[in-house]
Amino acid sequence: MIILVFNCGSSSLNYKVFASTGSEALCVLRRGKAHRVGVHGSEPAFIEHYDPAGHLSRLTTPIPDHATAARLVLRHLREMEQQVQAVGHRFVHGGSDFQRSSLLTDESMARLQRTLPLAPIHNPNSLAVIRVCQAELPDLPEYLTFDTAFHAGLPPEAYTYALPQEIAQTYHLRKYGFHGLSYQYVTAQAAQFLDRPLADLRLVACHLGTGGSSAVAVGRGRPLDTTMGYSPLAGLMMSTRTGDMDALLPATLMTSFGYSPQALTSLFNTKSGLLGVSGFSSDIRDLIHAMDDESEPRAHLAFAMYVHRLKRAIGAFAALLGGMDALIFTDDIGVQNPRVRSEACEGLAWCGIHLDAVANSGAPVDRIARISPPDARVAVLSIPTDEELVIAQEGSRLLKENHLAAA
Amino acid sequence: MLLLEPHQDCLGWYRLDGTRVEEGWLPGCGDISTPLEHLLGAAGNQVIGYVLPNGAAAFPDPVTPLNHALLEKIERCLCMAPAANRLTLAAARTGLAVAARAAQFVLCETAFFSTLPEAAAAYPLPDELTSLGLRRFGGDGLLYQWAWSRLTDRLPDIRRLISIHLGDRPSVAAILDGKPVETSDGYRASESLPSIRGVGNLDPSVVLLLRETGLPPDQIEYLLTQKSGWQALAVQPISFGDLLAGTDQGAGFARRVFGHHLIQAIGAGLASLGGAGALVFSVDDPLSAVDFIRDVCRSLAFTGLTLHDLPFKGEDSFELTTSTSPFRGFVLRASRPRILAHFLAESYLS
Repeated sequence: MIILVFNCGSSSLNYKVFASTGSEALCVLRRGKAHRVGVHGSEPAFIEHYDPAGHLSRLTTPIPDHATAARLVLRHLREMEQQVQAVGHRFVHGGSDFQRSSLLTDESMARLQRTLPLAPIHNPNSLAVIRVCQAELPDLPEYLTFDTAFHAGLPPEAYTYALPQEIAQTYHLRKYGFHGLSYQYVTAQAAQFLDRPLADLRLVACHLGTGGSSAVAVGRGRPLDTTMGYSPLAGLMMSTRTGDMDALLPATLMTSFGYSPQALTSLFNTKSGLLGVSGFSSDIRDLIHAMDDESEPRAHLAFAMYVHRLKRAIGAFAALLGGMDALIFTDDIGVQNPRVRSEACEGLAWCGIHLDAVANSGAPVDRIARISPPDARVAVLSIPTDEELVIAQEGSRLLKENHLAAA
Repeated sequence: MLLLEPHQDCLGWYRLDGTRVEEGWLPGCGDISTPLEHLLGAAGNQVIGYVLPNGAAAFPDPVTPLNHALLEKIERCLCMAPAANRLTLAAARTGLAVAARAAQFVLCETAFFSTLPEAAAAYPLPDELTSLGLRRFGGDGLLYQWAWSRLTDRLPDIRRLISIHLGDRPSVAAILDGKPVETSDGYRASESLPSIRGVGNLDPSVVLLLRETGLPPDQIEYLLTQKSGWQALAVQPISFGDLLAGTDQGAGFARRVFGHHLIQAIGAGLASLGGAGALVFSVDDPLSAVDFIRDVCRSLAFTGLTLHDLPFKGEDSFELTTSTSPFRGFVLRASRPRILAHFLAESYLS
């Protein structure tokens, strides 16, 4: 079975073509990424393709939206005579309607429409890609995976906001959590690496990306809490997002300072976080350089706040789990930034976390690595994530079940 | 000594005379000038203290002598706790007018957190918003200062303390060498712990969504501070005592949600401190809370905290942990009037 997987970012579109080898294993035949999708600026948009031998080809061309990006991908696959037998899509927010991966049907398509307002930046992009696939590959089965599905197992004390029930139920206000595909992958990888069943492990995983960052506490194979909430705005400090704040702060801004909810949505999501505090960059690497050469006085504060809030979350989840067996760092910042890992782990010896400085600074970015001493109570792991693989695995499972059901 | 402390819907007062404590309250709505004049006019040359729940950045000291200039400062802080700060202002203004012979002071609950490190106090917001004075001001500062001094009397070498206030408006603070490094309270309210009526942790986008549904901002604030919290979870009015003792499904669920967030707030504090030598629970009625507190402490066994099983007999100060526990745990009876009187007496005498 050859599966094409699409993974939409806010301004990018990743794709991978997987081939299943008959067993559970999937290998990557082709992959690529469209960059600067819908971004207006001096730098042009472009799309990269890697062939099975790993050779890169790049096309610089206007990519005004994700539908165009998807058409470019499908055109390339046709030109390469790459067969595809199924298409998988990632949706950031499945709301209460989707608690697991799902085949795309007329019925699920209708339910999908209801999820659009829940992630107004991400979900419409994914839907646009689906429509392109339906138009150009009408005979292929398609399926949906959701970042929120992993957290469907959160206990009520974690997902319930202390709001009047009629309000919470009317507007489906609860904690959903995100980055679930990534957590599904890295927790499984950790269990395999530690040679212990996932159900026996207490894990804290930190998905630290250049866009969004979150953390999750997993005990006995199920999530116990996570930092993102109803939306991806909540939780940790991020590149341009605030993370958690006193709920009366936005209320005060509306009541006493006249801000509209639309203005605050923009400020909290796109102008805050590392960018808002530093005043010059949303990229933590830029902040670290500025700290090192003392060129930007607020870089220190921005970095310190980012690490403080991350450390707070790790401590909170350690207490919630009653101790932990492993701490995982993943995604771009998690895997590529040893300084963030080092400073986040500083002072966490009380819950058994120690780093091996050499292992941490030398950790590879393309495979799993232990960055704690071998005899440490808590294994600290750097694990590159692979959401596309999880999407392909989900598809392989769904399609097999569907085939067996039909038979 | 006369102390006045505002609550959401009333102005409480305590009159202390030696060991005798008399208490009462005045209704918070309507015109309370007459009962205030009567109460304060009879104060004579007593010492009077007015509790200010949120002084924002204007009150860096926990106790400040009252004068007319200070009234202006309180007025500028009204938006920080509109109902409660308004009552403090009304009481202080009346006190200056009718109790001129009394030594009068303002006791500010947020002053303790004026030294919160910037990385903890600042919000990840752009200049456009931080220039409006938006930062984390904390709360219950007087209690945390008091708890610290009680603990250091007992453990003079303690440096790192997790201090937990349990009551209708609970909170947690992480304290290093007598100064806060983290707290569960934020700009005006708790950011993480649901309380008797307060929502606690809530995704900020939910607040914006509620506005987009058409709910006016002042009603959103009322919803989050008066209609949420444990009462929303239990679907019935519920105090901290009810939360602990309630056996029905609603109380049980509210207790589980609260416990879920409380243990995380403690863990967050431990992380901010780099570990702790002790944790202390301050509570008005320790007997009703000790079982709940023990359950919370059991979750922390992985830190080395070891509980004994000796019965609690109603002491004012009770150690939960064995003598060999590397991380000590205590329960303190926190009598509100005594705590306030402690600060007032110290300031008056100095």
